[in-house]
Amino acid sequence: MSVSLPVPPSFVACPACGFALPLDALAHGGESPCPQCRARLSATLFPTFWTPAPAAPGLADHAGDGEAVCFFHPQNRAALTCERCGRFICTVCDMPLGARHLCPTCLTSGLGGEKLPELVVRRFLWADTALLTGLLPLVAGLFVWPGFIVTGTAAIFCALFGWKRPGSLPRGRRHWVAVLGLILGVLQLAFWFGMLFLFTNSSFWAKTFR
Amino acid sequence: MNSAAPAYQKLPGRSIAFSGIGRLWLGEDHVLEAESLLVHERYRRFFLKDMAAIVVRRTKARMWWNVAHGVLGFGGAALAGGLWWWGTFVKEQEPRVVLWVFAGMIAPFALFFLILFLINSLLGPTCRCHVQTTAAGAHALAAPTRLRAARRVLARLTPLIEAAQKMNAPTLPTEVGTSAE
Ligand SMILES: [Zn+2]
Ligand SMILES: [Zn+2]
Ligand SMILES: [Zn+2]
Repeated sequence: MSVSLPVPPSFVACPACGFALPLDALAHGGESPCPQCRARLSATLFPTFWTPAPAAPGLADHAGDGEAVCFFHPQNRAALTCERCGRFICTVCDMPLGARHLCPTCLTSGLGGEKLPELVVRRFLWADTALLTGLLPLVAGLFVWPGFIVTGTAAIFCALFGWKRPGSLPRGRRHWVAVLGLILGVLQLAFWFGMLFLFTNSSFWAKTFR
Repeated sequence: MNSAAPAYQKLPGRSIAFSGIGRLWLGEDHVLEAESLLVHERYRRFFLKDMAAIVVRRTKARMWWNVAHGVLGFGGAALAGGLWWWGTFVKEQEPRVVLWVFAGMIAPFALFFLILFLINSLLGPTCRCHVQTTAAGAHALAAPTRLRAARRVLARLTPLIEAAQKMNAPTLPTEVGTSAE
């Protein structure tokens, strides 16, 4: 999340040595060496670099007759609409969240339960966990089968527990990964119970026929 | 706002490191840097309207990987070939077979590193991309790490960033003027 500063960066620093690069050398677009460390650089400068974004006004205007007013401050003229709930808000109430403008209510309600995708900084991928715990023990070899009861249950748990939970932010929820983990988990449990059945039965036969 | 996850488009290039697999995604108004480590993902956002500059620095990573793969690949191949060639001069059968078995064991490893050498060479020069924003200063992006991918990302982003920065001033809602009626 970013808060716009009124002053833009006035120079481009060499990423290798921090030297302030001469802008005329960068402007032609091709690759040029850093004058200090000779790192081969090419830079693209965008309009914001040259023209600072206008500083947000700190005070709100008083509303005139018939003008739309801020939802929270009836005396202030509306400057924007909240992009989540659509309320008119004044410049005091404007809460820029990245590129969006929200009202204070929407911002605080979004801070709690990770409702606003702009505020998500990390995600735990339940479906991938299910697939990993489902697949890895099987790849490791069938001789680790006594552990299948643990990993199989864990895979099934992760697949079901994470079913409704959000997945990767850019990739979205991938149910097929969870389904695959679920199937592999069930396979592990089936194998475990099958082995148990075989062992108990062979010892039972051994006792009866001896 | 609806609860649906925002749509992201995959941008070219990726990086593989101990910190995970790095990728860039293009959102509606920002670039998302995602680093995924097995079952966990971390995100950073760079809003198009905040980007002041992108600096691409050519790195020597490809050269060093090529040195490592080349020493193992060509060295291994030379060793395997040498053992085989030596074996052809040995009269007795047992030592000859031993030499050839050793050559046969070394050859697949040499081939493996030669393939890596080839892939690394074909992927083109390596680089690091640094984004400079108005607010947070410079940040080294996790991806792309190849110059070719970086150029494609820049070609994709530059028009979008310029368009986003044309509308720098906060705009008044159009309803304000007509709400008197
Ligand atoms: Zn430098
Ligand atoms: Zn709102
Ligand atoms: Zn207000």
